[in-house]
Amino acid sequence: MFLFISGGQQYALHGFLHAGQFPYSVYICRSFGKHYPTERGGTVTTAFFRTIILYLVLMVGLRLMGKRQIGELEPSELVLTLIISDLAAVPMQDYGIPLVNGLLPIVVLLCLSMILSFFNLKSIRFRALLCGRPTIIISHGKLQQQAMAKNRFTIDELLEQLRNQGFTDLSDIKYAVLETSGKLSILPYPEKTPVTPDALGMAVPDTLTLPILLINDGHLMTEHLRSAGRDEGWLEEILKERNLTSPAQVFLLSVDDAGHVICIPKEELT
Amino acid sequence: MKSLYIPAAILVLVFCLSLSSASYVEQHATLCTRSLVRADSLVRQNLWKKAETEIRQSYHHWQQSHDLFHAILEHQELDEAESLYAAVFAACDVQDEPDFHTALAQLQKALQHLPEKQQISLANIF
Repeated sequence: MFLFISGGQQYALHGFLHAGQFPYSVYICRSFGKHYPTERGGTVTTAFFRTIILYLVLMVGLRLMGKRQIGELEPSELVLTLIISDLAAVPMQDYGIPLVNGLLPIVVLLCLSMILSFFNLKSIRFRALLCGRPTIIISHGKLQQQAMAKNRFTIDELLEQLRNQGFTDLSDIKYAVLETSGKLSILPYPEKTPVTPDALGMAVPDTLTLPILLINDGHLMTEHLRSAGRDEGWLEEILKERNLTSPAQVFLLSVDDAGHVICIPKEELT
Repeated sequence: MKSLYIPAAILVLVFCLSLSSASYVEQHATLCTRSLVRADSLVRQNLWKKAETEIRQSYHHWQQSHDLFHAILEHQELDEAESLYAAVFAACDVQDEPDFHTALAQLQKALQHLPEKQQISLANIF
């Protein structure tokens, strides 16, 4: 037996012993001054409980942070998005961690999220607890300073949100509501809202139709063709009128309820 | 109610699986350790051949649970246990008693540590 040092560790190299009986012909044994146990990482049961605790703590934390931190998502959705992406990355990068240590917390989180969504739907109280309630920031043109302070919503942020929606004068706004998603809904006084035909008492014919996509980058959408009440014969005629022989030559083809067809042939790519 | 029962059932299932995996690790680690304890006392009586048979028995148990251990435990810990087995075999082969006892003690501690980490306890969770 002889010793050698590698990477700051002391190793003992033993000659081969009982080859065939034990799967090592050379034993490299890290020896002397070893430190046990190793305390990194979790295991299956620990991961289960830790996931539940951390999810709930993050949810509470995010709720306490207030609406303006959230952005587009509900608190539960944001927490889920934040954690899942991180959880998935760990076993992806570190091959020493079992895949189950990454998968199990993700499954637990998804189940928790689904259970919370269920109670969210069933109970208004629970919804208010989980997602909060909308807060009126401007009521009848008057700033609700207490509500702003409670939500840590500054006047600069309010003005920024107003500017984003095309308002520069605070006195134009009758109501402003800070939604649970953190977005500000602005309702101006009627005289400051854009004029609509309805406000002018004008009758406007309903010409709005929804185009249905029939050919998408050369691919015929058969189901869409049926739902538009058309068939292959009709399509053939449409293509023929445009000197096209097959859907593969079409980049985009759509038709709306009024029968208006938009056809863009494919360009020759070099 | 389906949207409540299905995730709740999955949560219960995951919990049961995690409990059973903890119990599996404990059973197999105990099996491995038991043979090592016997090997230790045999070496103290200078019965090296019998001790080697016990260690081989322990290693056999270890290999039986190899795949599942790799699926649920950190690979670094398993690799450490593997190299400690190697050290124990080597020391047993050259009948080096001090090295044998050192490596065996480390291996026993490593094996005992595996189920400890699986147990539901406040120390593990927090």
